[in-house]
Amino acid sequence: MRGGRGEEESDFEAFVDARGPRLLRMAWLLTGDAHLAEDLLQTVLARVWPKWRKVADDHPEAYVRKALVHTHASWWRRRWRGEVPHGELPDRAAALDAYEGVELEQSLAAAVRALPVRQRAVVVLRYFEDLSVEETAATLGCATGTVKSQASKALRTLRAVLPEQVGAGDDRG
Amino acid sequence: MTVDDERELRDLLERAVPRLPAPDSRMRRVRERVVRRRRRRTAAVAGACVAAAAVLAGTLLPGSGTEPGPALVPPAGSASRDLLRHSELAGLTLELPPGWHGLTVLEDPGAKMRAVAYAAPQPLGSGRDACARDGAEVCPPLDQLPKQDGALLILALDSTPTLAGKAQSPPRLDRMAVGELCRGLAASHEFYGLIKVPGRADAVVGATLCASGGPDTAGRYAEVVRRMLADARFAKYASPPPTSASSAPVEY
Repeated sequence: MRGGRGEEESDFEAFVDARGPRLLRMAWLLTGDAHLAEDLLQTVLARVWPKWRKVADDHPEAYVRKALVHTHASWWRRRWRGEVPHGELPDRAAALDAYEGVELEQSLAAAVRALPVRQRAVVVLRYFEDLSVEETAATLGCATGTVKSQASKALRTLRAVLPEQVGAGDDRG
Repeated sequence: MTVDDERELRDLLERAVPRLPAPDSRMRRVRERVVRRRRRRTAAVAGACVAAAAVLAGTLLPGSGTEPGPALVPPAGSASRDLLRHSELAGLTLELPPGWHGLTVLEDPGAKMRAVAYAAPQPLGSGRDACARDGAEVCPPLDQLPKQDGALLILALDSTPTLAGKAQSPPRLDRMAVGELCRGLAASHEFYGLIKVPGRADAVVGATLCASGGPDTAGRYAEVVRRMLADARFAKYASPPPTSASSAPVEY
């Protein structure tokens, strides 16, 4: 059992400090957009905070990851998330080196947006968060076979959008 | 899918997913969201209690069930003919011109801009009907403006950092190309302005005016709105105080 509210708050802030960067990258991969990613992360953190006492004792990162995926899916269901025009591109703390990195990031963002929301979630959990098929299935609440088939379809799409980066361009799915 | 495919994909994601900086205001914004959620829940519970009390009163008081009367519980938004106030738009308060109608929407789950205020010279709906329209930035409380003489002012908080520096006092209202939102309302003219929020360097209130009819009619509405925006008032914005060990985690 954890201490008072102050301690709970410090604990939550420490979690956000430590895991926020990774969670934000995950949110970016789900949304394909820096601003939407921050919006998604803040939305989820605001939902998690009031439950932090319970969440903190039971693998909080997994809980937040799941909340990110499900919140993003609910956004997707509820409304179209179009591209958001930005006055300026967000700064990057550790920018990908040189122009090639930026190009790759933009290509990946486009590829991510080309994926249906479920496939996107599978790619994020399975290949970015490196969860097993079983863990991914548990997070998404679906069968392991679904994870495998969605991953395969996602890879086919990514190969088509990013032929130089993913596979040789042939369909080995 | 081969092991090589999977490895390639993992490598690509690790390289290409950007390492974005955390905004300094993240925790403050999370706190604000938590407080807003609590307020909405409290308001929903209070609304339900009022509704229950109204039903009970209607059932128990002699004769009261036979009199048709106005609804005791307002819809999600609240309308006013004189003042338009919105707690979620930094406490924005506008004085409506005579004959104008106002509507505030605290939480619109169907739109990208969730907290929005509207003002128009014609009556407004509840703001819910248009929410079925996919892709909407906002869900306007009417389907279309009257063809010859109509207007709708849409006010929403915009936290794009670069905009705060562009807002002027008194606010300008510039003619713009007619965008998707106004076009969807069958408007032939669009104007846009930014209202400074005192004490906030991170947000402005964006004002979009969609108007139908000829240029003179639209220009007249633009002038009315310019005057309205020039007199805009805001509730004093209080930044969250520093946290302390003894304070509640989210009550600011």
